[in-house]
Amino acid sequence: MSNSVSRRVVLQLVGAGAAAVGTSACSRGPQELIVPYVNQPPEVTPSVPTWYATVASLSGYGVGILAESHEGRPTKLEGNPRHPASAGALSALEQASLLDVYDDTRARAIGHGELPTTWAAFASAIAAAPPSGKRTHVLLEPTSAPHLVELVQRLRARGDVVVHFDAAVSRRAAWVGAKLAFGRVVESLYDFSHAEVVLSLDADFLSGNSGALSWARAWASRRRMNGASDTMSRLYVAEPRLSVTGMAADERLRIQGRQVEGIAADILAELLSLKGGDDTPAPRRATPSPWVRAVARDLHGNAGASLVLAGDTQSPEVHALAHAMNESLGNVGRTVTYGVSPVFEAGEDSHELEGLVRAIDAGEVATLVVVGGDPVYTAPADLELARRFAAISTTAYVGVRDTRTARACAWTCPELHWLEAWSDALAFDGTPAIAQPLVRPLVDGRSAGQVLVAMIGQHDASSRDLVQAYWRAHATGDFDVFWRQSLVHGVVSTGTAPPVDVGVDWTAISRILAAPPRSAAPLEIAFFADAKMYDGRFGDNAWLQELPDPVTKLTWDNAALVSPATATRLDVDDEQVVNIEVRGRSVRAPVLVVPGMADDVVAIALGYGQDVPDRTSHGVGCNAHALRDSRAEWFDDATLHVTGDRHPLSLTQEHGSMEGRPIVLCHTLAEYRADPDFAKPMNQRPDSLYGLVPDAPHQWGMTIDLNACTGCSACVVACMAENNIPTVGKGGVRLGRAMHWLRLDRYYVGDPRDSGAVVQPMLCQHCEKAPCEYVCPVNATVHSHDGLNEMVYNRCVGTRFCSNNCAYKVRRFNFFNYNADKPESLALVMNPDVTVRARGVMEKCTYCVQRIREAEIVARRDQRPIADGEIVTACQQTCPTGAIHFGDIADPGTHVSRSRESGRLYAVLNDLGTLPRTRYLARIVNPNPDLHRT
Amino acid sequence: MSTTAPALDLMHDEPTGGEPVLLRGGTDLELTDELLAPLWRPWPWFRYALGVTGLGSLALFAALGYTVTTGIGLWGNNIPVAWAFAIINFVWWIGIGHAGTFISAVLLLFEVRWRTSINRFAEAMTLFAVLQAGLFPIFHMGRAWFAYWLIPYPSEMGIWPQFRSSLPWDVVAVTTYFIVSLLFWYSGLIPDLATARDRAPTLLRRRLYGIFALGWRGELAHWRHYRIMYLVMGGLATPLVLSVHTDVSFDFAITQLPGWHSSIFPPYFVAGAIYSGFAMVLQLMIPARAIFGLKDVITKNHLDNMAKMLLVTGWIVTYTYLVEPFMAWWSNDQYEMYDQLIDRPTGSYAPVFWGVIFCNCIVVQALWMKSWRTSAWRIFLVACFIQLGMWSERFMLIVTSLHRDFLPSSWRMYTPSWIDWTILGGTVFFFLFLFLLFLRFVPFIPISELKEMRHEARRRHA
Repeated sequence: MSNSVSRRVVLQLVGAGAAAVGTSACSRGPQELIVPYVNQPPEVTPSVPTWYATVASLSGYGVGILAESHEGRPTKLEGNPRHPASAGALSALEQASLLDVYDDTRARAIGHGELPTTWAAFASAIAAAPPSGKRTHVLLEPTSAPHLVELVQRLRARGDVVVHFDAAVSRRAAWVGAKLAFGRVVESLYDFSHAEVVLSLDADFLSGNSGALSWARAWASRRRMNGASDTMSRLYVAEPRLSVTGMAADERLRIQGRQVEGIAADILAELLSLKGGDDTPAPRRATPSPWVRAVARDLHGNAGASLVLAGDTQSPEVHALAHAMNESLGNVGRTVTYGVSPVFEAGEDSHELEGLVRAIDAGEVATLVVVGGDPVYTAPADLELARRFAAISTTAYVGVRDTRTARACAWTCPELHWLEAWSDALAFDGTPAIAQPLVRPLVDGRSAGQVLVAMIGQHDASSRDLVQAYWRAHATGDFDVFWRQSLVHGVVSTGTAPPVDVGVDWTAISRILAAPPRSAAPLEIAFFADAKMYDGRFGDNAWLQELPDPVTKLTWDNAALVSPATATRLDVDDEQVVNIEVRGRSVRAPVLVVPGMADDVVAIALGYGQDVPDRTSHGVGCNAHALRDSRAEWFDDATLHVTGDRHPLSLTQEHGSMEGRPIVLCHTLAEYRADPDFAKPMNQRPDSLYGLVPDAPHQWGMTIDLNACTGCSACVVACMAENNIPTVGKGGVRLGRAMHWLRLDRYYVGDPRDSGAVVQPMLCQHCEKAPCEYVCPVNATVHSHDGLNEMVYNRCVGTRFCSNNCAYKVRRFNFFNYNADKPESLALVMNPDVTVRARGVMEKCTYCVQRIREAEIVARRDQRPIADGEIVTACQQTCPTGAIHFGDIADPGTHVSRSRESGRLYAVLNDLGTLPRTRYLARIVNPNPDLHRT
Repeated sequence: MSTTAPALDLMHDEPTGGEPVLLRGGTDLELTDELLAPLWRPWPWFRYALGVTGLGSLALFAALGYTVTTGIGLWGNNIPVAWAFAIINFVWWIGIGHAGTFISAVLLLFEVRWRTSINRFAEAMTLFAVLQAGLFPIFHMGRAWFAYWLIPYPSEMGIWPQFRSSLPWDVVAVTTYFIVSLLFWYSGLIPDLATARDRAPTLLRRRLYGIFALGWRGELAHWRHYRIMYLVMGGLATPLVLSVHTDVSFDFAITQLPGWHSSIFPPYFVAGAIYSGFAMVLQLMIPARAIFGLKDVITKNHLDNMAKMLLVTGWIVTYTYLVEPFMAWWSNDQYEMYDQLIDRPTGSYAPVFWGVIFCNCIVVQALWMKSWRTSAWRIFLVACFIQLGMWSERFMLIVTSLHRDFLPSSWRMYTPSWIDWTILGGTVFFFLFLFLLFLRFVPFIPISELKEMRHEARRRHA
């Protein structure tokens, strides 16, 4: 028969089938990399990275990002200088979220119960019309994404859908506080660069969310002391636990969280009485505390150039009081302006979980679709969402991670990571930006927009279609130009929105002022969003788990943080397990004593104690969400019961005192003005018989301004991402084997009963007379002509003699093959410009030598000198406050050379004669003299 | 030959006077047969002792193999304590290895007669101790398979070792010491191996000992060359007693670390080495003397002399312990002062410090009493304390200096892992294993030298 299948065709089919099976088995990796380019795309040069602008958002606030892509795989995230929330910097969280894309334990496939299913089945399940009298409820994370907002509105137009928003770490109190003070929700926009006096009412504005990066930059601009005649701002902080902002404070009041309201009211009352006038309220207390009076006088003396902020965990009343203070001081329009909140329906009822809970209890919920977040784990314990979810006939979860909520829902669909899908987001000031994907989806997932539009009946829209459709409708001018320009710039130019004009409702303020001061609780529990896990969403991120907490230096755990006095009173000690009881619910947590904590407070970070098996987060720390109550989300009364157990904690720094050694030089402003060259003795070259012969045209050096460094730890993650630094796990950290090339040393200073803290980034000092070099038996660590202390991994035999002789202990040893037990997918995150080190070799900071050499090659190719600022180390690049300067110290005109003319310049352990290339600018604090008169 | 010659009159060691260094009468043949007896019939417990120490040695190699295939992370080391048990054990064993050469070579040059009965013991001990010590610098490396990069050889990479570091010199010093000690020990053995060949009961043994005896026939020319060679080797070996531990001390002294950066280290290390080495010789000799009934070959005079050496070196060590904190205070260097005056005596590892003081400085003072110096088991007890003290001293030196250096942010405690303990225990077993083989197959008392000494003494007496 002529149409019979020939032997040749059979073989072809068999071969094609085998090839198809082979390729389908490779779905773990980005498939386009498996075959080499036949026709190389014009924009791709192998080994030369391309950069794409995109935007990430956390709790609805967008931060602009530039992502480095090596042949289709993102390897590093940096801030987008054009984006207002970033200004080139990026926090530890956003940088590390890169790792989550490659997490091989993330949600991978669409499922129904235990069984795999299809997107079509999933979509029709969630899109099904509810029976009459019932509705479909959708629970989203707070969002500012314009295309999502439009989809939510279209979804609501269906008539039988209710949309809620929920975040465990939200700014609800701030929004409600604004409503209380102004009658409407506004977003406060701060200008720290004009604030002489800043009062933070438990506001961790230097390391938190929304505008923290830009605020930290502006705040630091008022802390740079180039000479004794410069002025600097003064920062007052009243807070229950020691925060990053608290470490930067000039005057700090340790106080229970719910006492902040009383302090705020006292300060406002004092301010009003200082101001005088007809409507001066009666003083709240017979004698306000000296701290309150000093702060009020200082604020009053800097009216119009001061700034009062309230923290997101504080009550709406505190926010209202802060608004009242700013208005009373005339700061509005100068250091603070108000804008529309970028978050959709901010401060409205849709942001409360109560509505959903009531609907479930009333049996009105036919279908519940949860998109993002992990409400079953993060919601206040009294809402008992797991139990309530079980009562709903159809539950569906769309999320990046396999969470407890996913386990509580019948239908699950992987959500695309924000680096895999198109989206958009508004910055804290309302600036829109479009997110473009950096990598083809590594899982069979959908974006939030795709899920919402599927509920309107559109199954096959791509995330790109949805975002483009929105902007096509809203863009002005030629769309292609607009689209291209928005993507290239990473921001959509819409022109700045005019500030919202609002006035404080003084009758509401008077009511708050008239309330009697609350008495202190015997023991208060303070919950806080973890600096690394946030609400728990980064629990599977090993970079963040291993990142030391900026204050406690704790890794791979959370702990019950108490002050030394409280520890003595409760008779507890580090690593002792206590049972914390709040409203009848209890959680066991190990104690960690933190000087600088307020007394009678136990603080515990959210985001730990997740219990989904086989995940990095499993069994790490204890679940503080289980103690939260919807009536008291951030502060509550607690009791502590000591158990006989102990739980080992892994700290990267175990000793908190400087032992009187001149390591972090710290002077008050008055002392500095009296002796502007006080650091000089620690910046002089000790007598030596040997000369120095720097014989290359460029001599690289670094200066770190301790006055600008806040300890936010963004640089540590930047270094990990840039230099392929492995994680070693909880046990490894506990044994003292953390691999971070750059660490942030934190020393407690001052009265041990009322400590503050100072921070010092510590990395290879690139000593000109390096103690490590002369003890290496095999020439594995040598000095380069341009002044780098180089590490030759291939030559290292691992005697560790260099580490012993390093006075700064910045060398790190590969005790095991730390890359061997990592999932293969993590190979994709590696920076191809940096060697992945083998077991048994030493490693350390290289000053990002790969960036130096790249700049040299480019400059040589272009036949031009290397410009100042052309070489930016990874830590320097991401520093929100610009504390790190790097460049050629042989050229007196460079930025780094000018910074080295400061009288604050010194070398750590100068007396050893190691002549470090990394120098520090001493820290200057600006305490209020009124509080220190004896 | 008279079998009734009064021994007491004969075997005096003139320099020390008084006590005899050989009490044995009898004919040369009787003496030879008695000293060779352990070679021909294994003593009853040998098999079990060899089995136990052999198993211990296997544990050592298993632990080392595990380390090489998995990583140094199996040990307790960390940053800042990047050196710990391996280097402690290295310094301890190499220190122990010093007594052999000191007894053989230095005392030979000074013609101290009492060395004769014990020198082979001490030399064998040296060899086996250096063998243990030699394991550590290799296996403590992160990449032990590249250990040969420390050897200066013309490599195709065009890179030499870095000679400003003390570690390449360690390689040179230790290998030189081992080779010279081995040759010295072996050349001393040749006449006795020939005796064993001549007296061996079976053909196989005669052949085996014959091979190792290198054709020695006891001719006059043999003896003449042998004497000269032995003296020259002694002369060569003598400076090594000083050089090896001096170089080992540079592993610490050339650094800038508080507690390490000190110019007193070379003499301090050499004295400490001889101290622990003599203690080890006594620890091995006293049980062997009891088991093999050698009380008239290794006499109380030997014990007395050795005990006096312990007292001398013990005081040198004690002096150093006093000088170190004084220099720290005198230097006014805050890091040195913290290490020497605060951290060591009162810090986390204070029990180690005070243990060192007790074991190395206090216990040894009992040897001022003649009754202790001549009681074998009392000396044995003291030697055990010294051994423990000297190991702890290296722990104190290495770990306390490293765990709290300049920046308090990197201060951290060190705790050894079970692999660390296995390796330390394993080297003790491996050492004893080799020593048992030595006792079983090699004449462990120098027969020819003893006989020669007897003849000399008799001639003098006559």
